[in-house]
Amino acid sequence: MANTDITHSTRVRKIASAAWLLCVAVLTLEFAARIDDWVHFDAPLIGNYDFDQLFRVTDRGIRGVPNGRYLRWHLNADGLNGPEIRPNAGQTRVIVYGASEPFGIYEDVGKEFPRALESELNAQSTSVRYEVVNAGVPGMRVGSGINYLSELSDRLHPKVVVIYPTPTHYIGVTLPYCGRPPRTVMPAGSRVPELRVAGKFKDQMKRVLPVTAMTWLRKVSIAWQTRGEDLLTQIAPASLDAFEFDLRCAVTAARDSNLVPILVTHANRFGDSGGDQDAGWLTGWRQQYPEMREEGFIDLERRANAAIRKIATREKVLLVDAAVALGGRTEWFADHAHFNNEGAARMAALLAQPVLATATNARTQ
Amino acid sequence: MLFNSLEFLIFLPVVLTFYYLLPHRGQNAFLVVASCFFYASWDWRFLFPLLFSTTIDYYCAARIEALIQRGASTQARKKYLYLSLITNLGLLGFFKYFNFFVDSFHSLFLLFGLDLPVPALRVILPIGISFYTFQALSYTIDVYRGKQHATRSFWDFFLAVLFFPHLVAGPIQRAANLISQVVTPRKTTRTQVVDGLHLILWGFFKKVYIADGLAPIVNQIFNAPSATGGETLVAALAFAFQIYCDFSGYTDIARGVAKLMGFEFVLNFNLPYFATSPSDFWQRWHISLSSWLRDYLYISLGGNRGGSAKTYRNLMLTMVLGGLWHGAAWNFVAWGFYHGCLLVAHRLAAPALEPVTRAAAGSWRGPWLVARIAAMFLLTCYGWLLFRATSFQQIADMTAALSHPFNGLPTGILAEVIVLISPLIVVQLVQYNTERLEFTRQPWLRPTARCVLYSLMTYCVVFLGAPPQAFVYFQF
Repeated sequence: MANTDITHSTRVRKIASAAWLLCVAVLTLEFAARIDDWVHFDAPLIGNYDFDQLFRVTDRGIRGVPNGRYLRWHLNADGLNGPEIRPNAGQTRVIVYGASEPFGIYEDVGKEFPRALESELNAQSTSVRYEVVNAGVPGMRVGSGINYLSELSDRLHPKVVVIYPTPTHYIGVTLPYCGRPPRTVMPAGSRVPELRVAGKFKDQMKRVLPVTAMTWLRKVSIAWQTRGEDLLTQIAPASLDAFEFDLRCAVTAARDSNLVPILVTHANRFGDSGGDQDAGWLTGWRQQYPEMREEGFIDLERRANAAIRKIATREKVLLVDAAVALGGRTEWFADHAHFNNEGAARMAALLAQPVLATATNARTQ
Repeated sequence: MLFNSLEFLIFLPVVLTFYYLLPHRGQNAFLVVASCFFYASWDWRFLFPLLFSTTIDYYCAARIEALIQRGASTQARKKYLYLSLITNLGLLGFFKYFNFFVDSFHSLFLLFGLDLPVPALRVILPIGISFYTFQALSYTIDVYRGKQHATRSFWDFFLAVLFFPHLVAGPIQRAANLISQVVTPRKTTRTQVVDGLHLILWGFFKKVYIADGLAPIVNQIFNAPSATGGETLVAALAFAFQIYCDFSGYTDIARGVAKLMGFEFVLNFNLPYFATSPSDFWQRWHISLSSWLRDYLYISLGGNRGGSAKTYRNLMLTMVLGGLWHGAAWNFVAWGFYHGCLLVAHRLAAPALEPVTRAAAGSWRGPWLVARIAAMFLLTCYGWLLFRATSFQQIADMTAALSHPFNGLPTGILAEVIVLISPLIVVQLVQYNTERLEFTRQPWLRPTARCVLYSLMTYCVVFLGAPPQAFVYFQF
């Protein structure tokens, strides 16, 4: 009996000791992750550290945090990704309005396509100086940020707005926004504290794991998330209608603010058809919208770009067909639709002439 | 398949799982297959020279053993020893030095205005050939010298040479040590598992965090068209730690992996930058190579048995050939020559240094020890400059720049180097003062503190490590 008690107590002590050491290990790793973020990015030691450092939800929609910092992203005093807005000195301002693509996810700092566009414009124009304002907000729908566009326009008096919409943001959307801010975003600070080391581990896995393994893991995760659900093979007509409506709304809002709009079709690495070698990227894209099957994304892009072209014709807006010019060139994309440095430079080069022509016209009118 | 690759991180657990499930003979057979797979992951064709040389060595050793048992003359045994030597050194010479000698002769003849046609034979160097050749050679020589019995099973010998943890970058195992472990049933103890895991983590920390972190700094300075004295100083310092952490990191991982399977490899590094003299350095740095060179080359040349002049000659020859072993380039020869000179100079200066050492007893013992360690470290760093340089012109330029060692000192880069190497220095100071190489097995280190240290090292390896780079010694 006594022996059994001793064995039992030894086992309990061993388990307690192992649990204690596991806690120590996790706490040490978390502490190291926080110190690492603090040293490298001046991140706060306490609390979460994620994209919420850059954006906050207001009753008018999502806005950039003035001087917000997260990893390599440093927003300016106006909460925009880029250098400080220069005082008015006769420069012509151009706004690039969109989501994560103009904001810049994979490009080096200063290589995002709005920055590259500014360099292109100033290199091609000897008499007029140009300032390009990056009004890209990751996740922002073309319709839900219209009041943001109006605010910027009232404050900065730009001449031209380049509208680069992201069609996939309308998956699951049935009603147009047309300036109405989204209500589904969870306010910053209301979330439970997260283990930073877990996030870092996930990022590291993405870097280290081969594409096939990563794709398999994504597929498992998607299958789990969508178990028992009916999946979409193409975007719902109502969603596409909402996208079209919002795009027209953005064009009207821009004109109401005395801005000349330029519409740009959405480019992705697949072009018109995703090949087998792109299957992994399509799954990566799908992870953001698990409710739609992979083939639906190509179809959505094709139809949304057709809608953009149609609106450009009807509304007599200059169109830059990036989907045709850049789509399918995998070497210019860092993932399914975000540019790398080279892609951003190509996009800027594609936009430079139309923007110059439009801005010149706008100034003379 | 690098140790610091995802493939290896999958390969090792798979191998260990099967290994633990199998009986002794099955373990050996499985390890042969796993090692072949490991080696063939670079290039399957590399297996052929390896198989060829081990077959010859096995045959020669078996013949020598038979002749010894029959009481045959030394002359008869020599035949087989020479066959083994010619085969191994021939393969090594062909694969590693063919292009080097052809290019060198071509350059030499060009000096005399003779532009001879160069045979266009681009030979690919089988990875690890320098290591396994020396290991296989030690077997036949030991059998010839009667220090080791020839093994009866070819596969046991093949496994001893091919065993994947040490195959491509050592440590160079003596046949007597490894074959006996292959033949005898092994049982992995709990201590071996704990020590093995510790060595693997510490090895990864040295390689991934320190060595790969220092690599871009070193490359930046050595690849620049010119360098100031300060930059040269920092580059030499950084490279000293890069190569040490790179190579000793590999060795630690190899020793750790071997321990997980119940094998014990020889110690290859024993705090080399705490050496107080050139001879002390070579008893601490790449011990498996330096002891091999001592036992099979220096002693074969006569060692120190023929008077001072012959001893110096033997030392120089051993070190120059040791330098050439590292790579088919003249700067390795220069590095070997330099270390030969240091050994000879130290022998010459030893009588003069002896009274100083005696006088420095008592309270001066510490400062004198520090002074000797610092002096030897600086001399070693200069040697690494010869080792890393890409041309003799660069060596000359950097040596000239070192006449003003603080001119243009890149303080930012120096700070970066210090941050990277400081954990190593702290650990090694503890190891040196406590004379215990297993840092995390220090008796005063409680389990919680050990857990914190392991976790911090893991963080550095996983999240702060530079992108994986090949081990420097793989090229040798």
